[in-house]
Amino acid sequence: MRSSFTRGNISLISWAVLVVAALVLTALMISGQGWLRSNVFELLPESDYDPLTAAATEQVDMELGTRLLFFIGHKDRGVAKAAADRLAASLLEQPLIDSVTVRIDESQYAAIAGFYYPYRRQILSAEQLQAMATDAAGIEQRALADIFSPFGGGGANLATDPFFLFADSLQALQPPNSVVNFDDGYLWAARDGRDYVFVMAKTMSPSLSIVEQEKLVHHIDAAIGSVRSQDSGVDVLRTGFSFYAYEATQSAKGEVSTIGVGSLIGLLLLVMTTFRSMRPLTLIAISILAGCAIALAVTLSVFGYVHLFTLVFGASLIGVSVDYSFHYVANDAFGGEQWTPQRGLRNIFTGVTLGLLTSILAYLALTVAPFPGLQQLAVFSSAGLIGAYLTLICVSGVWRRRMTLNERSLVLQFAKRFLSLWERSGPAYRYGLIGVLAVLIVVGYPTIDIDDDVSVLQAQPPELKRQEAAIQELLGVAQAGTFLLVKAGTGEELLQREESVRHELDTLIGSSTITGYQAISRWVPSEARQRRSFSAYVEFVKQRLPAYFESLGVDADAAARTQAKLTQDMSVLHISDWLESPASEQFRNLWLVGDSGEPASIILLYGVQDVAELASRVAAYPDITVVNKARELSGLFGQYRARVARMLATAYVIILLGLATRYGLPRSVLLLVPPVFAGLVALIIISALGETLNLFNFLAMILVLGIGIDFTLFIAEARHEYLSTMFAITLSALTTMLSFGLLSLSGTYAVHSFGLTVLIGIACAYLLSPLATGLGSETR
Amino acid sequence: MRQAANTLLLCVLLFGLARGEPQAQLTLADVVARLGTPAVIRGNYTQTKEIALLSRPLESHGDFILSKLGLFWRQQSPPAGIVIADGKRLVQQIGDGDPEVTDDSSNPMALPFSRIFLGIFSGDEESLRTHFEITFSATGEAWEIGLVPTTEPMSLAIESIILYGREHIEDLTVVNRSSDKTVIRFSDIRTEPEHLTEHEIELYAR
Repeated sequence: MRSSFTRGNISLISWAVLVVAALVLTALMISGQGWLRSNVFELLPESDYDPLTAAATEQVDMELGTRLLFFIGHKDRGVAKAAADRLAASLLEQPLIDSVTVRIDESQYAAIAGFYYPYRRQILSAEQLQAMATDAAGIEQRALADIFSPFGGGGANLATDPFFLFADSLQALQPPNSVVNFDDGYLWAARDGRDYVFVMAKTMSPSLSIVEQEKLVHHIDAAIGSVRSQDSGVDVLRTGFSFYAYEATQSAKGEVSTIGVGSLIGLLLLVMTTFRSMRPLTLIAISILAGCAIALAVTLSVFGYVHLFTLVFGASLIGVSVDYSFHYVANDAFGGEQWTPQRGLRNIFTGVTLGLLTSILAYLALTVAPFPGLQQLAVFSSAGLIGAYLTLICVSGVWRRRMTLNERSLVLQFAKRFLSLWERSGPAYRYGLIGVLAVLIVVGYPTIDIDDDVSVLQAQPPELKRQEAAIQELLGVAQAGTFLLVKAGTGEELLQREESVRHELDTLIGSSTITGYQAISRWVPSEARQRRSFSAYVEFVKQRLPAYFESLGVDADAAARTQAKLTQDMSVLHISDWLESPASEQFRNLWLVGDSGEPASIILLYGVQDVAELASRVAAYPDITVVNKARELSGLFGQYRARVARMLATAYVIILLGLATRYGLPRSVLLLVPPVFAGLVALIIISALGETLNLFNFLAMILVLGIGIDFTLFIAEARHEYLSTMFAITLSALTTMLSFGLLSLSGTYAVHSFGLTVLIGIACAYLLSPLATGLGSETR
Repeated sequence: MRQAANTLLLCVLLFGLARGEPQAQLTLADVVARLGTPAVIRGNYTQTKEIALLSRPLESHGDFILSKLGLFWRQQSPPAGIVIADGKRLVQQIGDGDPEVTDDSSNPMALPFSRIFLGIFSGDEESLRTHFEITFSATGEAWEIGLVPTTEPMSLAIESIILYGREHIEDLTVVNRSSDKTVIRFSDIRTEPEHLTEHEIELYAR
């Protein structure tokens, strides 16, 4: 007795040291910055792209992730313009905003014109080349009209651009946009009788911390508020990745507290109505606290940060980690006169330990998918469960007084009746039930609907969606991260490849598969194309200039000199010239250079309606690939969903073999029926509710297995003390369903799917768990 | 872009000459104030363009109407052509060809000029001053306004504009940065009938 008391003391002290260490470590880590993250993309696996594709994706993500778009609307465009100016000015006050564009500067346009003028003979548009071949007289006539018109200053460039082609060439470099209009450098579009003026801002970085996110969005909303209050009737539309990230963080934060507080209140009510004393609550509270402290400390040590997503899931850990304590207090409450803490612990040790091991196995199985988010979730949950388990083993001996049960507690009454219902039912009923469920599963499973869309990871608030749709409509451009990556050995080859695929893209615009694109070869034609343009120009000048100049009265000497100048050899417009000039400012990031110096480029696509059609049309072009991160991630989700399903099947077989060494094969099969059927029935029910299933429903199946098998194992190991075990299982099923049920209320579809599957799965596993009565090892 | 600038200038001038009869001590304010008064003005013109490359100046002539519908400018020779300009668009027709319309929105650089144009339509001297440095001199019957553009892109193309008149405005000279020079001489100015005739309204419809 003395020695065991000492052993108890030692374990209590070690536990205390562990918990204090975990608390200190956690406190140290969270006193720093950046320990809490919320960027959804950090949950996703690193893509297995080659370096160039990865660089291109990063470039596009950077572009889309930092961009904030605004439209300021008013009936009077003048008012809208003034409001846009004020908004731009106050946006710039926020240091997290890198730049704001509200007007296109005229000097910027002049600089671009200045850059291209020396190359004017090489950048003739397809329409101009066509006109030179078929309508030379028309070109001359327009030039003459330009010279004589009182409005034309055309004569000014008579010696260097005698047919005044440059302005049209320059205009043709840009993709046409029929939706957006210009007014005094402002871009605007009309909608519902109002004029909307466009403002674009860029943030410093696509991945802002939670604090920065809040600062940014609060500043922007205050700026919008003040613009609105100055002019009644002004409305402002806004969209951008930062707004989605902010909303996701806010809703996740809300969910962490809803789930945490909800679980705790449920727990409190449950314990107060079930037990006569508050002592179980003390044990449970200590085990939750120790579990959370250890979970946070381990997670922070392993990853260096905690993701908000982990905390949302982790909040549901409360409901799982109290199970061990429930088994202990239930054993106490039902124990006879000879019950001591040591004996109680011994009674439940095997069941609880097996339960911990299967749960940890289930959580670790989550890490098969290389999603950093899931790996963190698994580590967090496993550490938390171990913490709760150690608390029970080390601390429970402290209370030497007995627990007393509230005999009229609903939980107890229910457990009693439920158990006796099963005990009265004969084997025919049991096997009949198994048969009916088996038929339901065989018929129902093939009908489930699956949708692997990656967007389930991010909450999609309808108001943000509405504004985004309105902005895309106003802008006439919807860019969503789909692009073509073009690779080649040399820059010239690259530009030629772009030019050939652009023909395909133009036909895709015609068939409305895409609405437009942006490509570098618009701005820098390939040398081959420049030479074609140049030789057509020289030919045209030789044929038409002499007569044209004569009709104007240019003297012969000057005409000859001009012609000689216009036909002298061209100097190629190289991509490097363009990249270094101010003309490339907006688009130079479409050009990439690989590790060994090989060039690549991005063709940005707008308004992609049908990625599959696009991919099949582009497939014929060598070294051009369609990159669509969302589509690939969705594909990945599908792959992992299939892999998780296979892995679950394997896990069941392994568990079955493991159990068979203790229970024999036939009983092991029966022990596995409740969790397996529970998981499958849950999927079928959710599908029948009209929801589509995704990776997260299948990941939840792992938990249904891990927790559900605890129920049958506890019952099998109950040594005929079925009521105390059934009572404990009822309590733990209730708390688990409470916390995961709260997850199913989440605004993030992935979290909702996960929570709902566990909720229904655990309910089914609980209802089926009495199948294990009479299957214990000692009854053999 | 220069087209639009010159459109505006013509409008300024032609509105100015509607009120003829300059007083002895004419001020800039007197002239500018007249610009805002709507009226229909008709007349003929002869344009002379000096371009560096040409051994002799290019000469052309035609007639015009200025009204609230905008400017109708018809060149009779050589070559024949019509230009119609209002605040929003520019219609250009060469010979018997199809009219070509340049919309504000399709030509971003035309817009600054439209803004100035509209400012001047309302006879606003302030608006003129934000885009030009203005000099004014008057000697008896004769007056001269010099405009030097101070804002881009007009200042990139045009060095100065000189308007000269006595009883009416008589000529307009635009000196380009490239030292080319355009002189437009007006004649036979009429303000009667007070309103556009049906025939004239039809001319605008293109």
